[in-house]
Amino acid sequence: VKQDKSAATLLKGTVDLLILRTLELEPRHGVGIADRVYETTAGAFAIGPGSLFPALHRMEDRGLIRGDWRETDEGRRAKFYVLTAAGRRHLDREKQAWARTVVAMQQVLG
Amino acid sequence: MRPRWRGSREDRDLDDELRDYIARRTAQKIRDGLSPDLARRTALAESGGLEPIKEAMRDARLAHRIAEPLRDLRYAWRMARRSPGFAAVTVVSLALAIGANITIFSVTNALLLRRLPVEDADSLVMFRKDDPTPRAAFFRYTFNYPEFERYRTESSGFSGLAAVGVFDRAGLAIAAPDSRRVTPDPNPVRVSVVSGSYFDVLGVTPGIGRVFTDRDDTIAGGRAVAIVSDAYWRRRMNGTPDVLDYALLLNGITYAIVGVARAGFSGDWVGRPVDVWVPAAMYGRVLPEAPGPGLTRFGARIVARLRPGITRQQAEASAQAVMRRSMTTDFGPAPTAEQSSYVDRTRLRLLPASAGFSPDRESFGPVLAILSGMAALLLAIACANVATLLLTRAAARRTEIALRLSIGASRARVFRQLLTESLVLACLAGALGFVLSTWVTTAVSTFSLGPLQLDARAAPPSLSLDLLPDRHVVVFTFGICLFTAVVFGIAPAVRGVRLPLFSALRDQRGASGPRRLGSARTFVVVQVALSVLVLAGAGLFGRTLRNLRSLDLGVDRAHVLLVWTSPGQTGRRGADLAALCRVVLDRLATVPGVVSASASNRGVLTGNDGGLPSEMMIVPGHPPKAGQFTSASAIAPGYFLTIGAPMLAGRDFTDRDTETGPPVAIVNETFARFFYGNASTIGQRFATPGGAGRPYEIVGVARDAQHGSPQVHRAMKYFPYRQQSGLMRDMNVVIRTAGPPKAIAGRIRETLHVVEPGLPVFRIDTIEEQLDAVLAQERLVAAIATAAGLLVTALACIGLYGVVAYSVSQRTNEIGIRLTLGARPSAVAAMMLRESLTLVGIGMAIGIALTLASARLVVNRLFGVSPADVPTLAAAAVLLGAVALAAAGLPARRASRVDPMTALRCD
Repeated sequence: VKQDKSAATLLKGTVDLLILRTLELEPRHGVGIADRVYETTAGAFAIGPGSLFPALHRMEDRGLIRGDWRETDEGRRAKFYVLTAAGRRHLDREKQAWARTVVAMQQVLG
Repeated sequence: MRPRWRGSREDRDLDDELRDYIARRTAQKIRDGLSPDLARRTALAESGGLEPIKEAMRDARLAHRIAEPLRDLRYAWRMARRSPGFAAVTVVSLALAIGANITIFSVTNALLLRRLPVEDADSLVMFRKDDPTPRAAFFRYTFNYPEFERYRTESSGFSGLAAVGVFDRAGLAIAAPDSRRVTPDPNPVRVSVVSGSYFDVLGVTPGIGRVFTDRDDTIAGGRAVAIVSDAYWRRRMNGTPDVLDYALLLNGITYAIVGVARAGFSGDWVGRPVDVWVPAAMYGRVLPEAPGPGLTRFGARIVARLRPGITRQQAEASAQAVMRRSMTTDFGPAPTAEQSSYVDRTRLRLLPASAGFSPDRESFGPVLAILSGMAALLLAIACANVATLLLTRAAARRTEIALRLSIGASRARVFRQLLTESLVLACLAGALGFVLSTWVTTAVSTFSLGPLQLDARAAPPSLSLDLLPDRHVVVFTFGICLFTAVVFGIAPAVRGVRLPLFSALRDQRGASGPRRLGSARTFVVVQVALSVLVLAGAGLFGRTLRNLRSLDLGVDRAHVLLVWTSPGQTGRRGADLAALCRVVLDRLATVPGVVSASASNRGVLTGNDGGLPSEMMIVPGHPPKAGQFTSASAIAPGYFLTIGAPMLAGRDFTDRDTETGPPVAIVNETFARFFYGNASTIGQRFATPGGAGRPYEIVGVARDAQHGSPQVHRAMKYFPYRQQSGLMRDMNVVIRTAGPPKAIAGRIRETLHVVEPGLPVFRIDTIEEQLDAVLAQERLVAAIATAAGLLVTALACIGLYGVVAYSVSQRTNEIGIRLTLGARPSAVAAMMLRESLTLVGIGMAIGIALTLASARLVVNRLFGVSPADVPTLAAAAVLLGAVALAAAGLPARRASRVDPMTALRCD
């Protein structure tokens, strides 16, 4: 699998990374993930359903996360996503890669 | 690819999820103070619409599912191109094995599986009578025509019964409408004599004109009409549209052509396509040599259609009762105990006829089973071989695989990728194997299954199967490719994805002991074991053939020529027939190069081992004695001298043994010993059951000579042909020659043509050629077993070389250290060799055990060699051992030449 380094991929990778990081703390459903990302980044990243669900399903296909239908507090059913072991490893690698990218970018940009 | 239903389930899942999303967003906005209606509309608007999202995700999923296998395929193809040697060895060895399987399946399919192109074939049955008399399978299916009529009128349970006989006739001609142009057909034409009900019972419609009706064979004297097959009409009559104005001439009778059978239908006998059908009433005109009045001697097969709602067992019981009545009538009011017991032991069976009639199934079935077994073994060995190679290569590719896993490819994905590579190899091999098998099946489609049979009622020798690949063969081919890919691909693929990621990346060569190649080693053992089995089989079948070839046949092989002819087909009968035989023999005796000429009606080495149970023979002064079978033959004077089987006592027949003389007989050693023990045989008398009651006086005893198969001894009784004038309808002329027999074959043919131009000469051959023909099946099995043996030896060589060479390349480091520490190069080579030879040794031990266990399955196809034949097993082991030594020795020697310094540095 080739790692495409175009801007679009980087952005897609960023969304994935944000989702994985959110799920690292606790399982959440789609709205929960989007709201959490929105809050923690102070509104910098608003993930709409058009990019949220494709990302979730793609990562579910790759075995990084697993979706389960569960009852929520208010008694409604919702699909909760859980980080898998493979997802956790993937997240670790991506975090390191991200850290290296940030350091490198800062060195260039000053 | 995933099954399609997953798509809709995923779609529903996504629908639910998106609906839940909008509901939650709406609830949030209601909490923020919006009216429910507005909240919902805002939530929908902000999401950008649900349909576009669903659409985009569906598209992405679809593209992914198509693209991934394509990417796998492209990658697999690139891998194959990158190591062309590996790909070639894999594909060719698999192709040979797959091709062998397709070929044998094609024959099995054509002979056993393909259904007759008739109406509702499942309700068709054929009659078979199993009585205690040994006879060729074909004769168990033949019934007298009067017997057929009894079944037709007396048994219940059938909606229709039909009688059918198939005969190869020489001398047919085609008459054009104006009758001026008459074209003789130079080849024998296959004529089928059928009851008027035949086409109706089978439900076969005419392509042109009409089919027969009951009227065609109930008119007294018969109606001279004929139906031609679609193939014959196209081949011999150029498919002329006014075929119904043509006529056929046979034995002086003109048959009006009334129809062409539907295309694709060529009779119900698989492998014997019929050219022309005539009504049963014409039987005596088609076979003028047949003795007896009218239809009484027509040996017909019976095909019937079950009445709806009647089971085969019910119909069988009813037909069995008819048979009992008929036999009891034949034996008279006071049957002997033997006769009653014979009736009791005779069973009538109704067999399913949906796949048509084929006595070859019974004789060829066991051969096909052996060949299928061998082909399956070959495939197993080829799979084990390829798996070995793939495993060694997978070990070499572990870095590549580890890299792919580390950059996020899932194990399932890599597994699929590795299996795809196997599938590509298997499909390439399958395509090549299919082409190979097409060549081979074309060559074997007219394979001769046995020697020429003189008896006009018996099966003609060659089998013309329609081996064009049909649906079954195509499905089989695809199936075997898939199966092969999974069998040889699964172990390497499992191993490929199971490797520990970090160690694989860290030490690219690393510590690699024998354990690294664990499963590859297992496959080497499996391969060697199965190869021993195949080689031992080749040895056993080869020795069987040699033993049968070198048997004492009781005849002089070097100086005898056999001429297969049929004086009866000239239309002569009785004294005229005997006179023709005599003229033929007298004239042949004067041909230069001929020492003497004689004849029998039975022939030499016909493969037909039929006979009458010895307890049916009437020997005055002796009680009936069971335990042998007796055959009879009519012969001309000088027979034993001519074939080189000397008389042991008494005299030969002479020209004075005529119709008017006292009935005499000559018997062979086996007969004399069986019935008379050590007592003098000359002057004794015996009678045959059903004979006129006049006993024959034995005037001579001859040495045993093989008339049927080389390995079966029958008690023979010979009669002077002029006392059995009907029997020389078919004649096997035996000629003793001064020089090589084949040299005068041309002169013999010319002479026969001058004596009687209408006398058909089917074949002129030597004893050795006849022996080859009668051993056709044994030769086929031995030839294929030998080819398989050579192939598996070559494969074992490749597999072993691959494993040892890889093991050496992986252990260069270790070898370097050993050499540096002072190990002698020869000791290093011996170490490498010892490891591989241990595997071979284990494989051989298992293989020998397997052979001993399974050779019993083929014990009745062996002759003069026991399934546990030590020399054969030893030879197989020595051959494989030598090959293994060579295959493993080469890389092992290379190991000993490793330069210690280079070896240590190369990490």
